[in-house]
Amino acid sequence: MQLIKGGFPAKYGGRLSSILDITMKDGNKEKYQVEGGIGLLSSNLTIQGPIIKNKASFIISARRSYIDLLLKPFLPKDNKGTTYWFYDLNAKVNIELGKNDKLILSAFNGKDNAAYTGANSLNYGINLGNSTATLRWNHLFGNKMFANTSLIFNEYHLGLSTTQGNYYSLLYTGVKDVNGKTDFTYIPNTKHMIKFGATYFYHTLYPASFSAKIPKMGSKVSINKDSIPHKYSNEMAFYANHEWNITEKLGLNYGVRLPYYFTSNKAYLLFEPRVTAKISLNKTTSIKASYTVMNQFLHLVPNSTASLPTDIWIPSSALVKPQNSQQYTLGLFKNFKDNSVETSVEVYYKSMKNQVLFKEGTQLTLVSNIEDALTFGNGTSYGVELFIKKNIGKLTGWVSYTLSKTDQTFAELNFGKAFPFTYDRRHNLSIAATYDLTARWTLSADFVFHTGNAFTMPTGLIPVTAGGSLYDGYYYDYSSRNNARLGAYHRLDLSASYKKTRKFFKWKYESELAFGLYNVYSRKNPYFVYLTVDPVTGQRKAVQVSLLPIIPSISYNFKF
Amino acid sequence: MKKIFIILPVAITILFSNCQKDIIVPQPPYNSRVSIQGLMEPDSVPVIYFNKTVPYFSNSTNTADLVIRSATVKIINGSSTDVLTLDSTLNRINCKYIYFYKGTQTVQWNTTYKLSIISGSETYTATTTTAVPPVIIDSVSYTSTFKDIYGEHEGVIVYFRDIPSQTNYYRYEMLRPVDATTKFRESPLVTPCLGYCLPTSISCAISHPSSI
Repeated sequence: MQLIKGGFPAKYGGRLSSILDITMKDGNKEKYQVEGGIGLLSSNLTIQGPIIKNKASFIISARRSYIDLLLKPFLPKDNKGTTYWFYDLNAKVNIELGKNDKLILSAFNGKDNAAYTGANSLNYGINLGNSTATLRWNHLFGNKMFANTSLIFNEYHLGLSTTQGNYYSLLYTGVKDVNGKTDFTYIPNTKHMIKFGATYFYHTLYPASFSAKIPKMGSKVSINKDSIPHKYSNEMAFYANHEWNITEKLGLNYGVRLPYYFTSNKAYLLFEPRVTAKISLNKTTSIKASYTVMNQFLHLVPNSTASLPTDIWIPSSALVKPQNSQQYTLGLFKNFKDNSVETSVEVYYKSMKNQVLFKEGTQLTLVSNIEDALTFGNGTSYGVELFIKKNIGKLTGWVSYTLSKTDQTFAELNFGKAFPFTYDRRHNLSIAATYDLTARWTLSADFVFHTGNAFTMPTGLIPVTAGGSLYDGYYYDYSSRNNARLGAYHRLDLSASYKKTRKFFKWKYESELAFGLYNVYSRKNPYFVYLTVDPVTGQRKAVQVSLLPIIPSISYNFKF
Repeated sequence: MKKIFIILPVAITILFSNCQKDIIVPQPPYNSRVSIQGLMEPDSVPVIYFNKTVPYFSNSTNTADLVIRSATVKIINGSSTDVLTLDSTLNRINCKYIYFYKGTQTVQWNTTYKLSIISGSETYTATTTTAVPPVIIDSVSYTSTFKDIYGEHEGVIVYFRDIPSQTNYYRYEMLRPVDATTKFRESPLVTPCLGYCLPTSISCAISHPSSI
């Protein structure tokens, strides 16, 4: 797994934000292995081994939570609608076709499902899933060049339903991608590495959103995902990237990416230069600076200004231009104590064009043309990141802190004034520590803190004196967009594990007994906030919904 | 194993308990704004609601508390000026008095009106016209189940020809005369202001408010 936050190589594109490059684990080519864990809240199992010894291998793993099944007998009677479960399945097969060729087939399927039934007629349900399958051919052209050619299928969907008071809303957003790509890597010598390639996506998007008053009679509208109109688009890109160690102290990574996006009536050909320079001041200190241009053709649009996570995916079109960003980063990296402690400080500035949001007052129905309800603007994001990591010793871990500000400006929103981005987080702190108490006992602690998301809530009101029933009797004054914040999110997790090699008949296996405490001080972290009226007192109030208080867990892990 | 089974129900019970709590969302001090609502309806006298907004969580939402009483409200039609005076009416459903500025001159068709409100050092103006071109109604039909963003309800469907080049708005008024098909609720509506109340109801004691 590799996280790239700035100075993106030309190989990557299609998004403005950071890149998380995930590679699935290969199966063991030499012997069979079984490992798994039986836990209080979930269990997992992984089986791997050779199909043909040293030639072909497989790995299959599965995980499923069963808190929903265990939950039922213990929930209060009025809370039967609350549930949460997830599962994921992974499979990968590696086949060596010859000395220079390798075939890799991998697949993933995962689903999350959560429902919440609270007081004040609040019901909330979310269902999301992701499936992906990849066939990759790896070919060596001698000992200086190789290529990876892949055919990838990817599907994602999010379904959301919310009922509160007299209103309900439904949302469904689906993305299907068929992707073919080929990536070449040429390493003529230790000073140069050249990467080039091409990729093609066929995107199918099917977003739908609906909100309405609950009917006094008859049934509520439901979204049939098969009847949502599909939007098709094509995305191609060609890239070349040169990683050049000019001297021992100076390195350059530069490249260009040319994305070409087209639909039935519109095409965009764009140019994305990328450059990163690294200067080593001495053996332990370096400076890195980068400039990157990125474009994003699929847009994630928040469907409401409420604090609920209600984003839908829509494609670029003649009206909806691709989002574009220019990012500058500058970082100082310094290692201490024979590189056992790594530190860095990085600053970044990113300007974004063609940001997409819904116009004020948008109320979508299933027959609405979503594009008619959109408005376009710009955004900026800047901040500083501090990072310290200790790699060696009984105590290892890292501390990461980011101070940042992200806002958006739209001519048609917030009177043309800048307002905070929904996911603007002024402070973001992560601390992770692991302590080897003995050869068998290991203790771990993780702490996270970040500023809550911005959302919009009314600041004032006035009774509607004519035709008020259409607005529940009040006009609301919102003053400004994203004028409120969810409370800060913070959580401490602790765990302890005891490892031992045991015997099961004639087999030796490694066992681990793990104890955990999630959210140790049971912080009620905000998931979303809704406004309601107390039915008895008539007083308006804000209610915060939180998920997952303190959760103790115990699991038994094994590896044959 | 016994320990595991003790932890199990504890963990599950607390998992989704107490998921909601009332919170106070920090907000900057709210500065009330002026709200002007009015409708120029031909063959009726003009009515203008001139109020100040209140903070969202305020309990004071009666127009008796919100009305700006010392304003000078005028409707001007060419050389004719109608000075509106403060008036009120009792809403007998929620027993609240609604305050408004009411004129004396009947609104005419095909006339342009200017609204002028002077309140303290501020002057607010607006212009509207009753010279709205009529549209031809093609057909009218009734449906018992009509679905729109307000849910499913009965409705009258009106087909008419809109003029595409004009930005305009339409307002419908549907009159439903009482006839043999009209159904009335079986029990009388009980509010203190309507004069009906159950003998055991506390509201009997506060019924019939005597003054504004």
